[in-house]
Amino acid sequence: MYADRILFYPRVISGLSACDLKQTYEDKTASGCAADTLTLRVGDVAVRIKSGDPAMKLRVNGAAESFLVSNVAADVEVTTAWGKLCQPPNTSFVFDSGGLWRLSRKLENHVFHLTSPMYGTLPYKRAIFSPDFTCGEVLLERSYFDPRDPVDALEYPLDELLMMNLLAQGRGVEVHACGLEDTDGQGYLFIGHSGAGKTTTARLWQKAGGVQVLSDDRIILRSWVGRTWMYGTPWHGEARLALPTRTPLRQIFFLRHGTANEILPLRCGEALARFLACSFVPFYSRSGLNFALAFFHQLIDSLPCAELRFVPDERAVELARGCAA
Amino acid sequence: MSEKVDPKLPLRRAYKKPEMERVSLRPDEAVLGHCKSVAAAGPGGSSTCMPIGSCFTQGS
Repeated sequence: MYADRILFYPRVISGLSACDLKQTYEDKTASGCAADTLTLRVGDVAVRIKSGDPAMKLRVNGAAESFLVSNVAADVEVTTAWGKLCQPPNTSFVFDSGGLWRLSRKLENHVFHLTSPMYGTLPYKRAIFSPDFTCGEVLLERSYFDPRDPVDALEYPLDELLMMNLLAQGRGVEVHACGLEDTDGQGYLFIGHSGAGKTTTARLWQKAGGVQVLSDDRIILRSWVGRTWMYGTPWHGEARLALPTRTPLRQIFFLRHGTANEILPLRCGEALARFLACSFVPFYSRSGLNFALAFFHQLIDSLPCAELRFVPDERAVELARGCAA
Repeated sequence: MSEKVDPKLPLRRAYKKPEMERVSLRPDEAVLGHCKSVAAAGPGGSSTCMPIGSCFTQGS
């Protein structure tokens, strides 16, 4: 059985009073400060997190502080509270990440069970979201936390899981990529697995000067009226580059280390497969996958897309710029 | 018998055998199932991956 505190949709909705929250709470977003309510905006999706316990203060970690905002309407409302969590039944999972989280469903709600190798199989956190992920509740196992410390209720991987599912509702896709804005305002996307050279590329372009790196590891892509935008995210790579801004996308490269700098054309099918392999999509959702495939197809049709094999020097930057010109 | 080719018609492209190309998917990265970055997750602000210190992306 689940813990006694868990609330299920639609009771969650009524309990959260989502509309009231927008008008009642003043965000406290000073860096490093604990607060009762925080609003995190990533990829133009605003998630408001509210403490459901007067003694529980909230915070966010690291680069996420740059993504806190004030006085914006929330797209998603999440409350958090202490709970007494139990081991979920093994047979109930819709998806098992093989690591930090597992997903089950209760009625039509999505229930994420988060565990840590440090604490064994008992979840330290459980998050339940409404079918469209716009409303949720996060329960924290009290025995794992120091009650005097503020908590980051949506800390990784829950923040990224939530965003991935929100994007899959027709909003966009998060990709494993470095994204940057060149001096002329044009956006370059460099996609690749870990080790492909995303952080190396970010540093090379930074050396070139006048370039803004939105992220060296995770980029959100969204399309509006015929234009695709890249957004920085808090989930950076080794260079810790994370900007809460966006820029229009001009050119897509799939990164690969090479023995020389060269640009190779890609067939549509190949580009599509590579996009999917380097994206964060809900593999357990048919509609989410269908949306991602259609999104990538439209992207490949509308923007130049190629493989960039590179050696780590400034000539790779010039080659990429020349290709986009 | 030789077949006459109309010079106005485009030449047929030579047949090329279809090839299968395997694109690797890294499940541990794709499903966000493992540690990502420093101070990324876990009670008390520590990482879920290591009791002490940090855990970074393995390259990017």
